[in-house]
Amino acid sequence: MPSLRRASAAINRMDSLAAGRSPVHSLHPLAKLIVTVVYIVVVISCPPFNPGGLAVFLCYPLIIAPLSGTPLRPLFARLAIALPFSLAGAVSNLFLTPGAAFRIGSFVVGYGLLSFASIILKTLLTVFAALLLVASTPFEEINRQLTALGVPKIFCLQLVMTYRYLSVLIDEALTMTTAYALRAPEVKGVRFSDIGVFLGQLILRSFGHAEHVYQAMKCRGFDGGYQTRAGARLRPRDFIYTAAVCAGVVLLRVFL
Amino acid sequence: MHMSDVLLSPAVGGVMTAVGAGAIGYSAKKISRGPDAEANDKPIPMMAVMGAFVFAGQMVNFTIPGTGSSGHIGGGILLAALLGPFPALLTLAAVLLIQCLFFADGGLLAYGANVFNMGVCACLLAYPIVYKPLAKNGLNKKSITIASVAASVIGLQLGAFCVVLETVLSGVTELPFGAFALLMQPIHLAIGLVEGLVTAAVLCFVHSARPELLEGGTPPALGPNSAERKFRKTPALIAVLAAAALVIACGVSLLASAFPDGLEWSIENVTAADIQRSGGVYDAASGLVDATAFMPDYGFAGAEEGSALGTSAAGLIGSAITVIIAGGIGFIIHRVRNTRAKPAPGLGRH
Repeated sequence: MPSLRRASAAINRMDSLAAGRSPVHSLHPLAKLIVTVVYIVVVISCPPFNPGGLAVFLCYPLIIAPLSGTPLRPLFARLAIALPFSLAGAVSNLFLTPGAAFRIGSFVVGYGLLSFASIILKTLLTVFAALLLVASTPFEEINRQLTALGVPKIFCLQLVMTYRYLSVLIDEALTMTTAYALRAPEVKGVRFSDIGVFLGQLILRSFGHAEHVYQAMKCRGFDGGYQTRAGARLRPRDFIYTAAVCAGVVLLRVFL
Repeated sequence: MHMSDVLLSPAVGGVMTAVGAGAIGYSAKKISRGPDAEANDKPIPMMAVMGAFVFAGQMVNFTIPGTGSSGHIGGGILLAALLGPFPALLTLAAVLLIQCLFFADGGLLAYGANVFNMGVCACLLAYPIVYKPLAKNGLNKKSITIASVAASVIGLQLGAFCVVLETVLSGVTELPFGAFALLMQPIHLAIGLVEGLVTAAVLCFVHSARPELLEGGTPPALGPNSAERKFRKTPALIAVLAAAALVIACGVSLLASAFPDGLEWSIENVTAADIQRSGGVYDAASGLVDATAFMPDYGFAGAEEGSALGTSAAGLIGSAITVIIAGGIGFIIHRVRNTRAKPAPGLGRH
């Protein structure tokens, strides 16, 4: 996980990107959600020893990122978080997959190397697809679609509220870690003997916040549900976008 | 322990998504018919703020004595002890989804697997089966510590074993089951011990400051239909559900390995049965493909080694051409957007 300060900056940045305007932003959130899921499933299902062919799926982020005005740097920063786990599996394939696929000059390319490259490339493609979705769609809209798709209301409601309170609690934790660091400048992080009291204090503050939030919400007539404006309707271009991209990636997969 | 998409096969990912969705749905149902019937809406802000707490708490690093390394909490048992198992699962599931979408920590296809490995194993299995019985004779420093450490260790062992099973059943990596399990289980034994000790320290502090915040801190009266009484039946039910999930996962994966890849198999059938027989359109399309193909038939004829090289080279060259075109289009879009230079509100340069 990133540091507190970076996480806070990352959330703010995604929020401001999602609030932007572009042809991708103006698409219906459901269309983008379906396209993202289909794209990820198709990429994951690609054969393991053809990284060259897999690279064709780079088209999607290469077009959608500039079209939605999403800079590539934050995407690569998130990739660094996702890579370690994939890397562990990929490295094992590098050494354990038997057989030489072909030679380039005197360099033998084994199936292990092809599989390694495929896993790394698949990580990049799936991570970018998910991030491009949240960089071009406000989280509340994704949440609304989840509700519409039948995800339990209580889960959606607390999902969106958790997201809203992240910055509050991250700021709270940041204040506490700064105060701790000022009192214990030689210590990296928090001492093991102090962590119970430290996190316990953070919990008590969180409960305090929760109580205040609940009272404020009750005062405004909260009855277990959010009152929201009606969501956007699906327009013909949403259908065209969904059909075109889904058909495109499935066809690429078929001929891969 | 966050699994990424790429180490899961679509079959295992799909099954685990269904299992994760089932666990979320079941927990949501339990809460909405649960103990706070009259104040049904109160747990929501509490869960939300505690979710944000876990998220922030996971980023507070502490030094692990004697090792020089640092660690952070996972929070499953902690949440269950503060909120109860079902709200804790929903809270953790929300945190996992936010981590997956915004921080690429765990994949979207692997989301169900992550909810199961980290949420269900800790909140719905280790907590009711291990923590509750150990802490049932009243909460004090000793009982909280024993219950927290035992529940954290068992929860993480279960979770780590599920990661091994899901990875091996997916067959994406060559990791042999035995070696992978031997690597994962001891590491997570150590992590579980540290996690348990930190959970215990936090819970002891909360218990001394605000005992009423802990589940069981002030025992509620048990009526014949109280949620507490109903809850006693749930471990068995959950164990049955978990066993069923495992059986289904194994079954589907065996089926999937019989047909090397479900999607591949269906694609082969589709291409063999429909497209090739679809006459005019197919002929026209294949004529177009042949006419424009840089490397028809996707490979060089000849020895096996040559054909692997051919497939790879053809794939790579085909992809390179497509990606260059796509990159060019992307670059033009980028330039056009910049020269139009009407910055959208809230889309400032950072």
